[in-house]
Amino acid sequence: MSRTIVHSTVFLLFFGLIAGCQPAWSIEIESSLDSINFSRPDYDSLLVRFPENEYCEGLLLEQVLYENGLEVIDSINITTAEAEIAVYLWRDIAESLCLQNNGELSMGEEILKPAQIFVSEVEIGPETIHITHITPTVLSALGLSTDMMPGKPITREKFEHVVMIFLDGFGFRKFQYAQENDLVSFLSEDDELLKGISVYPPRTTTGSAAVLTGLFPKDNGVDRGGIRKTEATTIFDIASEHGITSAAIEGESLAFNIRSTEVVLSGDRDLNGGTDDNVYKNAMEVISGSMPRLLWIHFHGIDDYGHTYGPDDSRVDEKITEINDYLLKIYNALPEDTLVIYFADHGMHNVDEEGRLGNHGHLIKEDMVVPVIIKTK
Amino acid sequence: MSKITKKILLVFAICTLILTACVSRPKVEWQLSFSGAVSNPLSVSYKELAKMPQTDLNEVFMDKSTGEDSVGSWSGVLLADLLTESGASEDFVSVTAFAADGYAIEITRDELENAIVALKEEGEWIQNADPEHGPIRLVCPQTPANRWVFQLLEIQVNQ
Repeated sequence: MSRTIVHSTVFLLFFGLIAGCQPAWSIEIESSLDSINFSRPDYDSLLVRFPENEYCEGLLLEQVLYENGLEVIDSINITTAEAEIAVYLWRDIAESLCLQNNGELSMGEEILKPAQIFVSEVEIGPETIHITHITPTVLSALGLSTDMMPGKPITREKFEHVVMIFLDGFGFRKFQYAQENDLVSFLSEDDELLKGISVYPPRTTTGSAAVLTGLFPKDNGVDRGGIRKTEATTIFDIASEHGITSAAIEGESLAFNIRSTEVVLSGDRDLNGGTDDNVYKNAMEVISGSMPRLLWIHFHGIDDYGHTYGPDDSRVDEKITEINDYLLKIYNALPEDTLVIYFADHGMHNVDEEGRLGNHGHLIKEDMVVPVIIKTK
Repeated sequence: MSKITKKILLVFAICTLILTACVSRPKVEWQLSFSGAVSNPLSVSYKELAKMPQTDLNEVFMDKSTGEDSVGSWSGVLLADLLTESGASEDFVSVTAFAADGYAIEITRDELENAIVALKEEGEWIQNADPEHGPIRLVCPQTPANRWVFQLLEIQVNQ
């Protein structure tokens, strides 16, 4: 009898161990940057931060890649344990490729067991910064310390005023097209045009948080859709602490909560179907009135039209022309000794979805690379 | 009274209590204020809103920018009545709705047609069914969901 009990106990212990064990797996993720081994413990700790995503169960592979330093992806090669190789363009699979807790990749019904993933990044070229560099640039221009910022100022020149002009959804690809087609005459030869890399996911909330705080998503807490505020210190908090006057001219709503400044909303009071004219009007009122030292002006139209008609539609070009006209008038109205920084939060790519023909949110060039323009007066 | 009868009565009383707790108005400390171009700046409590005449909106389409659009029923107080009570300027052009989480949006007068300050969604108190989006929510039928401000705190009337 006692031998039976011992056998049963050993069997139960063994069974318990087997059942309790999580299958160990590891995937080699290789890129021009680095080679890392992503294993089950890494998966578990990332899943704590991102327990769900809008596309699939498990972890979106895109999130895994971004957390490991990859920002703009062209394609991936997946080598399976059986040495089979599958090659995908990132834009085709970004929102459907999910990593499961057993180390398998799911893509709809298709399942792959990867041993190695090779990621080909897009070559962005020289004169590239992160949009988080805008924040120390603003602080430095206003004579404030940038010690707490991970990024370095683009220019260290001091100015009496800084104007941040936020061109929502105006990606670098579209900007280049606009330049080639003479749609952006506000840009002159003396201005500094840089390529800015956005943050993941490239959206207005995450991009706004990055520019307002100078921090990447994992540090400012705005690391996914649906988060509208940050606990991290923003440029308006710092300006306010130092007695620097500021104002923020927004569209009809606060896409991202801005605090420690006077916020002016610009609803479509004239009912013409857009708010850019209202933003322009409110901006001009502030500039001609008590021009603050720090001014934020957010135009939403390029993004709105891009979503509705697709970024390559001629109506988006017309919207760019309209905003270009506002930008010229705003610049002319600004006082001397002003630094103007034009930037976008994200770009946009074509989609064919119900209700929209443009969208953004992935680690692709169209979504992640934006113009950052430095102009002085 | 037999033991069985007593037990039945006890169970009945407990069920009644549970049901009452489910359908009665939740206790919420919340004020909705009206400011801007108003002659009588109002501040209405959640309790007062619940006691006002309620308007039902059925099969209201909610146009969401992310996620799937939905159709639902809502009930609450007509915004027009609250604006009248607060003495909103007759020629106001828009209102700015402020939420407790810092969100704000300017909504034009035309978009406010049939708008209500909703306390219930699908017959349930929003505070109980979906507290993150409660306790009161502006519901503007036929407009995008970004105008349906939840955690509604203040309505500023713009002239």
